[in-house]
Amino acid sequence: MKNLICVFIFFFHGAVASAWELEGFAGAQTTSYDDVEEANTNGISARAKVNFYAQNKGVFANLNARGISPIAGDLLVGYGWRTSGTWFFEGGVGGSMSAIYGTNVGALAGTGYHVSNNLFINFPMIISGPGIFWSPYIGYSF
Amino acid sequence: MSVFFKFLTVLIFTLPLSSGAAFEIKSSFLPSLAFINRADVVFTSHNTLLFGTGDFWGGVYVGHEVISDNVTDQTFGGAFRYGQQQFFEIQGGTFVRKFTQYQTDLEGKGFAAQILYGTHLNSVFGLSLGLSGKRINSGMEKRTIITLLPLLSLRWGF
Repeated sequence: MKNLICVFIFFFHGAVASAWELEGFAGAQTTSYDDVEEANTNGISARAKVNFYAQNKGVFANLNARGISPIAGDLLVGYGWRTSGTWFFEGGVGGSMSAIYGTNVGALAGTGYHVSNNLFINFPMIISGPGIFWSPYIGYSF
Repeated sequence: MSVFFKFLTVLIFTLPLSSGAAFEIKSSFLPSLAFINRADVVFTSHNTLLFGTGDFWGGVYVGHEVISDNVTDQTFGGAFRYGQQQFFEIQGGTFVRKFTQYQTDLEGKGFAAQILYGTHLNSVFGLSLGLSGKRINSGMEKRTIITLLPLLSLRWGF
């Protein structure tokens, strides 16, 4: 499966454009107990997606890093398509890699909104090895 | 009806009439879903009803957060905002965490406060970064919870 993903990226590497986008969100939380210090928890969770889109299609990579463990995350790499316009729809297919769940076929589907030429809010549903994830992403086109 | 809610009711209906202040309802929120063998829904919302003019706004704050299937957080209090296009907002009040599982019902009580730095992207949409602190003093193990989270916002006002 890893080889298949490498071949997939190589096959579509011509779609990698000079313009790229970064989208996602991250959060952090710490809980401190007065009387049971061994129960204290700290964690950072992040979901980030990089798009190398040209003319609304190209290679993307989505990282889902969950705060429960450093190895709980997964990476989805694939090829995506997006409609033009202020409100847009997006879809993509690819392969996911995870330390816990191994390699799997993955996909994304969603919709988003361009606030300005560079700033957008995206709502992608990510289907990867561990399961299905959905949350808003805040994105910027460079 | 408690004295607190009577005070809020009077404040809501008399302040705009007496001051001619503008009025705004805003919800800053972040939903998140995960399906890994089961469905986990996490939803954070910080809602305000503010009155003000120019850079100074103040009013009522209600926070509602679904932390997990078993845990919900609620905060009731007030909010103050400084700024218009970019703004700082302080939200805070009494805090209740409810834990429910089988025959167990726990209710942790304390207080919570949050500082938001945000921007209004247009007349409806906005983005904020929130640093929140919650303190549980009774009903559960005493604890302090600090959270940093980006939020989307929707607002309506006149």
